[in-house]
Amino acid sequence: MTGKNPIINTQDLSHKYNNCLALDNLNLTIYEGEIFGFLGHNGAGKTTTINILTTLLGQTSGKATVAGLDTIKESLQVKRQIGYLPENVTFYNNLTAFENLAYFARLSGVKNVKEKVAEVLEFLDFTGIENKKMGEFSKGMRQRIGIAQAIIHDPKVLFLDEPTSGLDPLGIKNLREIIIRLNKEKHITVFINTHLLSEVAKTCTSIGVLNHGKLIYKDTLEKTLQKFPDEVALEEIYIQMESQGKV
Amino acid sequence: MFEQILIVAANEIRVLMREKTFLLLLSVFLAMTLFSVLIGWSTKTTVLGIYNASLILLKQSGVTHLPSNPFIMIPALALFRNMIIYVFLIGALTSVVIGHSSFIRERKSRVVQLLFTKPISKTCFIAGKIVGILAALLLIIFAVFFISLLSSFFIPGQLLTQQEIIRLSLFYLLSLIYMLIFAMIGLLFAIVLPTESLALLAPIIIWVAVTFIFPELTTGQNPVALLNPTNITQTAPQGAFFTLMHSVLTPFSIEQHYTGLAQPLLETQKQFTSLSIAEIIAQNSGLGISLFVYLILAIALSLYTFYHYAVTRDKMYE
Repeated sequence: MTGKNPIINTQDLSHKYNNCLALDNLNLTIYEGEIFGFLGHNGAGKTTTINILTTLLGQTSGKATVAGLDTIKESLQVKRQIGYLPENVTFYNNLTAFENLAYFARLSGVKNVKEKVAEVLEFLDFTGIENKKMGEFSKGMRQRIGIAQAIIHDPKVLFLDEPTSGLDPLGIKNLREIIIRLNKEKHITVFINTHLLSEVAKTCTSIGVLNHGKLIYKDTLEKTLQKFPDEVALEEIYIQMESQGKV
Repeated sequence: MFEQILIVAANEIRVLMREKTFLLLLSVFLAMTLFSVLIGWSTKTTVLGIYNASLILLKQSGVTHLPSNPFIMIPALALFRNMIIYVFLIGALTSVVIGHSSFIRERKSRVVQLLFTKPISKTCFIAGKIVGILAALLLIIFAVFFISLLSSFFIPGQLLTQQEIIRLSLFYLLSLIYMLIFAMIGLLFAIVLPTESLALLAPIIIWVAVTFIFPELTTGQNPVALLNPTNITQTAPQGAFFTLMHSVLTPFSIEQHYTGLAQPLLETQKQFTSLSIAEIIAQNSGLGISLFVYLILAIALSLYTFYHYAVTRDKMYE
């Protein structure tokens, strides 16, 4: 599934919050078609990375490109190529699912909004909810709408920040299936911020581990699983990496 | 660019029309407008009833010098003078809520994180917000204007002349500017303050200061007297303290600037009836310019804070 063209690239990417170095010379390349799982403890710098790549935040130094476009100099063009679902978004509760999706679609420049909303909901197997108010939705349903708004303009890269946070096991399973289908059927590269190793093992094609702002591990899942043959071993190795701060 | 501004503005109206707080305040404002007309109608009917009954009695008693109709001396527009108070009380408060909720709802729901990753510039986004707020206020003003105009048809002998309709229109245009200032203050604090409650409290404190505290300090009148539409700001302050307060605070007392212009437009006192619209504008141009400067300042501050707003540093998410 993965191609050879890099779609996300960072060179010596650093970010400081006041005097605290949140991201320390991050060099990361993700290729087209990958489902990349970005692992790390709380405060490791995962969200800072995703914020820079989605143009929400400017880096202190270094460079980041998405789809070959500079995240600072060409931020509007980058935004056309990406979809993003942050953690715990609740949307406009007084509007219906359709009205929410139509708004985000129009902002993304989608012309045939009605057809596109129907198409996306059909893809997500989520039809019949268009006229329901978002305030009536469960967390899992909101996540689906979140995915729908993120892919409605056919982006090249989808960024998900802790997408399984607060979901029940069924919701997690459904979301996992959606991510894999998006990657296989719509050829979208997916970048997932998470700290759940079990999810990474079941969904991702490659992983990276961030520790105190530094990338301490990156490889394909296949090679990682060869090194650490089962999920339990992977978890143990991860904890070991975390405690040592290096591989 | 304009298409994106309109998309944001249309969404603003759509969301606002479904918010309970806004709908409640809007209903109160419209009801008070209607009530203001009803009070005028009721007063006039009662007084005229007594006047007519008195005339009959006087005629039966053989009195030849009959008193004139008390309403001949009162201009038709004066019936709407309570609207001045309703605008700076409930109208300004409604505007604060509109401006506040315009951005706070997106911060609270974290939708702002999504919006800032969409291909829309900050300029288009905030312009869309301001256009949306303006459109919402226009809707309110049109509704209130329509109620005022319609009601004048139902009060016998109070049909407005063309000149009076122009005066009424100018009064509502002035009210729109006044309300927009407060909406922008609401928006400004919704962008800049870290919590929802603080962001609502700050503009309400400004509203209280402007509506009650400043006029009281600059005139030395008690608050109840200041809520009487016929004598707002008419009395010169007495005593050293109030004279000092008058010179220091009057430039900031925008409610007095508003009432200073609104009163002659609505002919709340006899001396205003002889003034033409051009004369009113010429005599009060300073007040008009001051209100306009406050509006520009409030918009400029909202724009400045919005350009410096960083979603990743928003303390509401901590």
